[in-house]
Parts: sequence; C-alpha cells; structure tokens
Amino acid sequence: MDEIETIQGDFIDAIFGGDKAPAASHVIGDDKLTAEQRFGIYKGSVHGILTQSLGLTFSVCKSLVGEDFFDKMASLFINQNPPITSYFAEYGDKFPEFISSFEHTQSLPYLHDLTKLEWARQHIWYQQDADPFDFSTLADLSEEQQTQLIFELKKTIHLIQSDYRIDDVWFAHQDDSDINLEEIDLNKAVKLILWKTENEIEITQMNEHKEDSKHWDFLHALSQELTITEIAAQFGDSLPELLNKSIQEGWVQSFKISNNYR
Amino acid sequence: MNNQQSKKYDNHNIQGCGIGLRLEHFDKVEEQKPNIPWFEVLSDNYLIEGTMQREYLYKFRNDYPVTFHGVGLSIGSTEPLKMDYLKRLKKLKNEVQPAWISDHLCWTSAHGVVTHDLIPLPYTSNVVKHIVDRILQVQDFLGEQLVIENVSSYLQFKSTDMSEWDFINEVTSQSDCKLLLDVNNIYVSAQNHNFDAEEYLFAMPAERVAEMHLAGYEDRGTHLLDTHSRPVTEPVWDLFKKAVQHVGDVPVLIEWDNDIPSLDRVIEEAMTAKTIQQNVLANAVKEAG
Repeated sequence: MDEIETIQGDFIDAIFGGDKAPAASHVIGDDKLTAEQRFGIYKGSVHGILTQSLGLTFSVCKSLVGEDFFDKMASLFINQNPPITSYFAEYGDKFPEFISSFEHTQSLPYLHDLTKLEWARQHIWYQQDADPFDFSTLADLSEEQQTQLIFELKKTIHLIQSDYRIDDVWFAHQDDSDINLEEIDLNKAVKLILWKTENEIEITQMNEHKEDSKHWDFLHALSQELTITEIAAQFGDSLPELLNKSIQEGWVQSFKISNNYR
Repeated sequence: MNNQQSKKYDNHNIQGCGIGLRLEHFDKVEEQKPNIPWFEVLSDNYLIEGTMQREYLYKFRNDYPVTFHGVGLSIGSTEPLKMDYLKRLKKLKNEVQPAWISDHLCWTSAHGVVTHDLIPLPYTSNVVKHIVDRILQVQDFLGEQLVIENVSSYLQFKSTDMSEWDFINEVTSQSDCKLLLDVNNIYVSAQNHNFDAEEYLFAMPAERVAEMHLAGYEDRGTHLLDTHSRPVTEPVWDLFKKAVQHVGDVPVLIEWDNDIPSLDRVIEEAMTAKTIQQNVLANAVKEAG
C-alpha cells in the first residue's frame, strides 16, 4: 500500500497549499486537461465544500466582509487549518483566532469577537446537556468538602466579553431584525451570555444593569473552575443569591469536589 | 428519546423512487407528509447526539422508511478506520434502523486530514485487496452488508491497471458487499474519461445492486462536474432506462444537494424516475410474455 499512501499524502499536501507537482505526477493528463488541472478540480472542490461550511457558520462575518473577500480569506484559513474532524459542525474553531491575526481585517477590530460569538453559537448548538443533577446531595457533604466545591456550568452556555457591541451587529444581520447596522454604537463594551433552549440559541447582554453585570462576573468565575471558597472571596455576601439565581436559570449543571481536596 | 419501540415500518421495505431528506425541506415534509415511499438520510449530519436534527430524525422515522448514506467512511484511505465515526454510525443505526448503510468507493480522508470530498483510487489488484479488507472489517463491526457506491471522477491514475468496472466487480464479490449504482456517476465519468458508459453499466453485477442513484451534473466545458445541483439530464435518463433493464426493479433515489429547489420539484423528479422505471419493467414483462 506504499503507492496509494504516497498518492494520498501528496494529494493532501497539495490540496492544503503545498506543491501541486507531486500530486499531479500520479495523474494522467490529456488534450482536454493537464494532470495538474485534473488534480486542481479536486483541490477546488475541497476548498469549495469547506468554504461553504465556514460561510454557514460565520454567516455574519461573510456578510460584513463580502462573499469574494470571505472566500479568499477562508481558503487561506483552510490551507493553514485542514480539517481533522469528520463532522462539519466541529470545523472552524480556530477561525476567530485566524481573524485576529489576519492583516486585511484589522480595519474591522470587532470582527474577531464577532466570529467568537458565531463560533460559540455553533459550538453550543451541538452540545448536549447531562441529565438533571440532584443539588440536594450538597447536604451530604462534610464542611471541609463544601469549602472545595466547584460548580460547573452547563455545556450549552457560553460567556463572551467584548469591547464592541457584537450582539447588535449579529442581530442586525438576522432576517427579522429591526436593528440598523449603521445606527449601532459599536464602541460599547458588552458582557454576553449565550445559551441553548429547545430550538434556538439565546443571546443576552448582561451589563445593562449593575446586578446583571455582577451575575455575569459570577458565572465567569464559575467557568474558571474556581472553588466556592475562592469565589466567596470575590463575591462575599452576594454568593448565595448569585448561586441560587444561576441554578434557577438552569445555567449550572452540577458540582464536584476540587482535585486539590485530600 | 428514540423510537426503537415505536417504529411503524418494516425496515427493509424499501421500494420505488425515494428522495434525499434535506434540511431545507424538513418543515414541508413534516407538515405535508408527502407520498414518498422512502427517504435517504445523510447519516454524517446526524452523528452528533443531542441535536435538533437528531430529534427530528427520530420523529421522522415514524413516518417513513429510511436508508443511510455517508461520506465519512473513507473506505479507500490508508489510515486506520475511524472507530469513533463507526461507533457513532452503529449507535445511530441501532436507534433508527435504516434499511441499509451506503458510502462511496473512494477516499475522503488520509494522514489525519479530512477533505469531505470523494477522491478516486487507482484501480489495481493491491487496492482491491486493501478495500476488501476494510469493507470486511466495517461489515463485521456494523453486523450487516455495506452498500458501496461508484463515484464520479475527474482524473485517472497512472498506476491504474484495470477498468473501473472490473475493480467494482472484484471489490463487491470479494467482500460480498452490495452496490449502490449511481447512473449519473457512470455517465459523468464516461464523458470525462472517454469510455463507453454502457460497457461499464452492463458489466455491473446486477444481483448485487441494492439501489440506484440519479442526479444532475454541470457541464464545465472541459469536463462534467457531479454537482447534484440540476435536474437529471436526457442522456442520463437514457442510461437509466438501460440500467433498469439490467438490474430490474430496485429502489431508485433522486439526489439534489445544491441549488436545492422546492420539495415538490424534487418529488416531481422522483415521479419521472418512477414512470420510466415502471415503463421499462412493463415492457420487459411484455417481451418476456
């Protein structure tokens, strides 16, 4: 199988930005198409399939930069980040990072955070929550164990903080939106929570009011897997109320005891 | 929630002309429950648990018999079989009970990278052996015969030393798998590589054909591209008539994956296939009588 392994390796290299000559050397050319052109049909097809997938995931980004620009940018991304997953839903996690260092999009500084939001939507859409957790078992823990508690957020929620009003930019691109892109005050910082409901992803801003902002900070602290003792040091007397509220909203999945506990 | 206990259909009662289930038609299908004998499900799109698509499929399965059709198996790859993929596929199979599972005679991933495209193989006896070993492993794991589809191609390898039809015969007979005969793919490849589509067609092992596919291609001037974005063309309908003569009454499916039209338009295409198939079969009975 050495030969077919070589062919497949040469094809993979050339499809994702490498030299086409080794791949084409395995192929028969003719008067209609050279070997390189015949190979090129597959390269074009792979890039087309992946660009289409990225365009669906990052549809607002695509709309903002325009289809031609997006396709060229996606092709560069694809060369640098060939898919290693069989599932389209899992491809594109590195796209926001790519955008942040892509020199031609630096004039749109909010694009990085916007693509993070778009990826978060995609990511949590395909997450599955565990079965409901019995929080009454908290009462069975020793006092010492309780100091080492870590409350875990659901996999179907995601927190994003941005210096830009990326939620409104996203909403402005939805079919039923009454938000006008030109009227958005872009340079307004936001703290957002995204969570999956039965059939959609909710996006809510949590920094309009001081209480909400504190709640977002609390959820963010939980997402860092801090122990309850560490969180209490940060939130003091507000902790019980914030924890209850988070559990009632359905954003906390379960608890565990820190690995540091002996 | 799954519907293992609530299925209304005999899993293997797949007959007539079906269509591919597409996201764009979910609502219409649910609302109208069109008179389609069966649907083909793109199984790769349902392998993530807990998604709305998967829940839809569980419900959908109560109304229609289904088959699974995938791209991710990469049966021709030289990398090890993807056990995570196969485990997910088997779990979905056990929950939904498709009549059969099909994938393509090609490779889609290698060296740890997934192309999501159907890339052909060199046709040699060594590659036959390689593919047969892998199909046997897959069949053993899934506990059923695999249905393997001939692909469209735009290139041929220098190392090929047998015809594609001999290659298919060797692979299917040695692995004892079934064949999904894509009539459009035969036509597209025949045009692209200047061989006789009928010679290919009539060399196919009729007794192994579980299903036929029909789709539309685009003419790019230098080659035909199998885009599944157009109606079936006249030359493919003509070849389909000969295919029905050769393989008899097997289930047929219309594939339409890009520039997807209304559900009614896809159904109309399936009805055309059904009429052609029934006419050819009726004439065959008359001639035999």
